[in-house]
Amino acid sequence: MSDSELGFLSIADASAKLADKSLSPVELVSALIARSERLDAQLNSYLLPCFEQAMDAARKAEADISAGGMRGPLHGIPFGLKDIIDTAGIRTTCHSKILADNVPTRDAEVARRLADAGAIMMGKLATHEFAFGGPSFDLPWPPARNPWNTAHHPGGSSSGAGASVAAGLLPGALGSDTGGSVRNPASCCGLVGMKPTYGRVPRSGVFPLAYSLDNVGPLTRTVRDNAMLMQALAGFDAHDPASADVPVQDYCAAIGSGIEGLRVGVIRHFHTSDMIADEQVGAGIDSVAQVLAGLGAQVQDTQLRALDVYQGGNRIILTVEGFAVHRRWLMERPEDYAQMTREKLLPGAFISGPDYVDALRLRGKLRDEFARHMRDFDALICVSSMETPCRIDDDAQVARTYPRQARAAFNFLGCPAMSVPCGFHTNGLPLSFQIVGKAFDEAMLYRIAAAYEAATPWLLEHPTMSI
Amino acid sequence: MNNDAFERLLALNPTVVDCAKAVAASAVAAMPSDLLPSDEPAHVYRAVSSGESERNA
Repeated sequence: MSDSELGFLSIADASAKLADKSLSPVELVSALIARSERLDAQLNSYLLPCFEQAMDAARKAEADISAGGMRGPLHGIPFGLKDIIDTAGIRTTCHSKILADNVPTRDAEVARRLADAGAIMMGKLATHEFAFGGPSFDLPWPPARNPWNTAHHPGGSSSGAGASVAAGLLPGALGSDTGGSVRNPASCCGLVGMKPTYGRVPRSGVFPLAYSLDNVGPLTRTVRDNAMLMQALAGFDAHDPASADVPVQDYCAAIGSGIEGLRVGVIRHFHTSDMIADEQVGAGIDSVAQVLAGLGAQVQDTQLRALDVYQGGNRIILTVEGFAVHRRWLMERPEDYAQMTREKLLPGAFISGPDYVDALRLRGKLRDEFARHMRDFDALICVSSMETPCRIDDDAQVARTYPRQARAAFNFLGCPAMSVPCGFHTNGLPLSFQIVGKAFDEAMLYRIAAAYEAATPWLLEHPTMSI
Repeated sequence: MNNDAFERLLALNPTVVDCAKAVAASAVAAMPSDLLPSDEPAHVYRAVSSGESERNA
């Protein structure tokens, strides 16, 4: 197989080939290294490639699999980590000068779980600084770029994860999502991105942005690949105080069972009146609703609170908790942050304790209300971004467009939400939508997303720069 | 927090604190206070200030 074919091989297909020994981990990892060395200068998706370690791991995986010791479906599968996820003995910088020399002594729990499954860590990936800033040019490393058009940003904050997976440098990567940071790069780069239920995936060893909103989740090119990674990640972690001791569903088993009779609500007012989306983004949702109805789902419009009720609450909690994490460094070493990060963190100093507590109280009430609403639905769909990503060097457009999204609402509500590609804008950039579910029912999201994916051709499209 | 705490930040950008205050005020103003719950368990939210306790006593 060519480098390009191997670059765009799904995790599921690679796993099958590794199992029947028609592909070796060394061949796969070598191809991805060659692609990364050829293409990543245009994308800046890697902060720290770990290719020597990856080749060592690939050789060991090859020996183990040859000896009949395949550990499971992720054995020999390459992946990348957003550089806020600790890796023992490997620099973890949060894309910031503040932690430029930080070398953790332990793996984050999610990194450990993937390593235990036999997956191969290829390197540390770009992020917006501390998972919060933006596509900044005043940091020690450049920002990642969108492989569909490298003049445009790839979304964030898990920017390197989005860029590398979309470009076929990796089949999957882990990001984090506090206000949409897995789903934004997934949307901008035409990928599947899962923000699981709060507490579903461990965060121990992951640098916090906002303690009560942070999630870790996978970005992949296919729904099944995403489910495969989630299967390895999900489950209780005693070292994460927010971790939920709730049984883990079989995510892959949910795929392929169809969606006949499922009740799917369309939250149309998010993009028609609460914010006004680009016309083609809105048309994308209409098209998704038609496809789901054609597959037998009972699709009907539904109404939640206005988008900013949720997103405004999320903004207060995120800003206060984020400032609490960074307060000391921000006072003592402000020059070591990007300007954009400083400007986003500092408002947290000026939101009062009572206002923060009120936002928490509002969250409790609206979570209960949402759970009652979901008694009538198996899932909801809505837009992800209100428009496609702008040029990366246009600070004013970045500042205007980043908040124009419907993702943070579901961090506030704590429920699972995933971003799924649904076509292309006439400007050539990907369109996407979100599927939103009940707490701890990620399997339903995978079921619906897989049915939609199988009924549409978007999976076959790849950025031309990366072929 | 008083402005002394932001001395180094202000040296980088004299307007950064005023901008942050404006952003914070806007975020708080946008929160729908009419939606705040009124039926929370009383044992959680019936706390009163010490001054009020003394007056009640």
